[in-house]
Amino acid sequence: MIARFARLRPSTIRGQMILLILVAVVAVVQIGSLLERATRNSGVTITNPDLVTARLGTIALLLRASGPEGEAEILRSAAAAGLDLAIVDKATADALSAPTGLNAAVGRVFSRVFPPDLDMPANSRHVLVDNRLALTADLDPSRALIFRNVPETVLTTDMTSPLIYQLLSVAMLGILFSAFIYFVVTAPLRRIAASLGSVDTFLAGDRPLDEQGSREIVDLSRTLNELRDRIHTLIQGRTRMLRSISHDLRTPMTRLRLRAERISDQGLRQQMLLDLGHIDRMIAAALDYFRTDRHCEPTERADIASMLQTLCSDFCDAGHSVTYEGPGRLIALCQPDGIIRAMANLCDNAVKFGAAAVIRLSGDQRQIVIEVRDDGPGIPPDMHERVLEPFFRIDNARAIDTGTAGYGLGLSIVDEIVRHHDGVLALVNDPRGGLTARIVLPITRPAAT
Amino acid sequence: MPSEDRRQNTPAARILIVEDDPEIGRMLAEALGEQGMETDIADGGVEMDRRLMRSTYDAIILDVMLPGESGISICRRLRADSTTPIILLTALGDEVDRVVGLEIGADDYVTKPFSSRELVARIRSLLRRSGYGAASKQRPRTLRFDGWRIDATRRQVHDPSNARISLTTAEFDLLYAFCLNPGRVISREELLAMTHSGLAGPIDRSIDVHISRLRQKIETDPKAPEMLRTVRLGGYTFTATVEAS
Repeated sequence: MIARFARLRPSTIRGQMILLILVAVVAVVQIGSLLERATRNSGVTITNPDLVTARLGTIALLLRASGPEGEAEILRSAAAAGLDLAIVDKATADALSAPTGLNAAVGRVFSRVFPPDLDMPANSRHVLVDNRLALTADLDPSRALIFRNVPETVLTTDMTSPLIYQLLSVAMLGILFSAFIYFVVTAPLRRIAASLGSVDTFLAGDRPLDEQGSREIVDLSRTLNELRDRIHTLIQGRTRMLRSISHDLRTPMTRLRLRAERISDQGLRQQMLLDLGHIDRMIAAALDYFRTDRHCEPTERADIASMLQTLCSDFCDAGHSVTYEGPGRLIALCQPDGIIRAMANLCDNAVKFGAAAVIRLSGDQRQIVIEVRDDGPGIPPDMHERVLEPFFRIDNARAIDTGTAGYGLGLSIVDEIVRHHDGVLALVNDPRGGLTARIVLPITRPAAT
Repeated sequence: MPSEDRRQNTPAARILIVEDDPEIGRMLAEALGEQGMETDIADGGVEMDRRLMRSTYDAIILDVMLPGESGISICRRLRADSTTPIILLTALGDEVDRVVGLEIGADDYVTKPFSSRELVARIRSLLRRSGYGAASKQRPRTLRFDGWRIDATRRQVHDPSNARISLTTAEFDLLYAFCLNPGRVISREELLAMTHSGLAGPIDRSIDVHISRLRQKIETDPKAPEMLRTVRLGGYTFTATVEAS
């Protein structure tokens, strides 16, 4: 039965919403009429208090017009019709106390919110006679008319039943819609968002999203799954291609290199070895840029100061002038190889374009700032964005020939690594000349254990 | 320095080259021959086994990408019952390849395309290390001293708070050499011979500079070193207690 219902259930959010409205309307009508029937069956006469009061006024009018004999006749007839009427002194009527309690209060509020449509008899009010609700109205200056056994509850009156319908429908639609929006729209979307996380975690993850729920949600999940699969295939294909190219190239390149070493003409040999070195580094750089496992490096506690010192030592040993300024130790949670890679790229650039470079490290509880400053020509400010693009080079052709060129990947890799650490890479031209590459990493420094 | 090397290589070191590309094999043999080494070439695992049955070698140069049995598999097999130093020739310079190579027992690796000079330097270094008795024997992969941890395969060092400390190649080689010989006074010449750094690249950097940098990183007070002590006229000694595993 439930299964059949589930099959009949519309699969789109729009269909479900239409169904929901229909269900709500039917439910309101059904439950409303049920309620109505239930209250009618309980034997309580549903009476409009205004009508009752008006009727009292009419009788008072008749009584005043009929004279003393007619009064008795009218009262008798009324009693025969089930109306419990009595004539009392006005003083007696005035002495009767007004009803208290919730019903009376609600009644008063109603009569204020919905003022009676009919003319009300003079001085009519609800009172208590023998602890039961009654209605009095002035008959003439010395006498008052009392109508006993007035229906008690507000809820059973005609006036309130439309209100029940309104309340019921509003509540019904409200509850149903909230539940619908939550369970059918918000919750699945939130689930998808949670399992996606950031772009990186989405791409890194291999568990497909659940393809469940409304058709729109299923379509969304399916499209995202396909998107991820396709990106994976693309990346894998690209990496595989590069790896196999580089692998297949390496054997002939080894041959070339060993052959070149045997060339007796020293100038020619030097040039060939230089070019071979270029090709090799170019392949390595491209492969490195397209590596898919860079983000897989685990995050661990590492001493950033020692990394930068090591870098300085390596560059100094290679004959460059790179100095370190900063604390002797600064431990942070990071991906150490990534950071080393990024800093090595920045230093490469610094010594390529300048004569000397300074690495400066500073940090507080919230962030770590690493600066690499060189004394080179700097980068024109309008290029600062573009130099981060892969394969972009400011000085395209010439640098390759002189053999000092990079492959336009160094800064892209730096940018990628820094972003992966939720950090920011900024390039700043020094007014005195030279370029400063500043990396700000929002790292919470772990307390030493 | 060259004279010293030549002295160590007498009688001529015998090297087996396992390489499927005949031209690379031939040129390698020539290059090593010029350096006074004797070479044989095998084009794969089968040929290698045949040659190993007939004679012994001081070192094996092993290409990773071989048709048939792969270099990695051959290396693992060789390590099971031999301590001959092995240098892997890899086509992919990935960290993973290096770690895998060292974990299965290779002593060193060279990435294609390499220069013959680089390969010769690596072979010499390896022969010298095995001459000092450090290579070939199963070298400890993890060493601990004073809360510090050294992972020789990944070439990583962690301090007592388990934070990774970065060292240069030379610094690492020195620290590793000290840890293999704790408490012993080691001369600068010995240290130079025990490390790669004496050969590749910064040849002229004096050992003292590397030692001083290493102290900056591992000593609590580098000006008053406790672990890495200088021994007057002798060299250096490492005072910490080292556990190998």
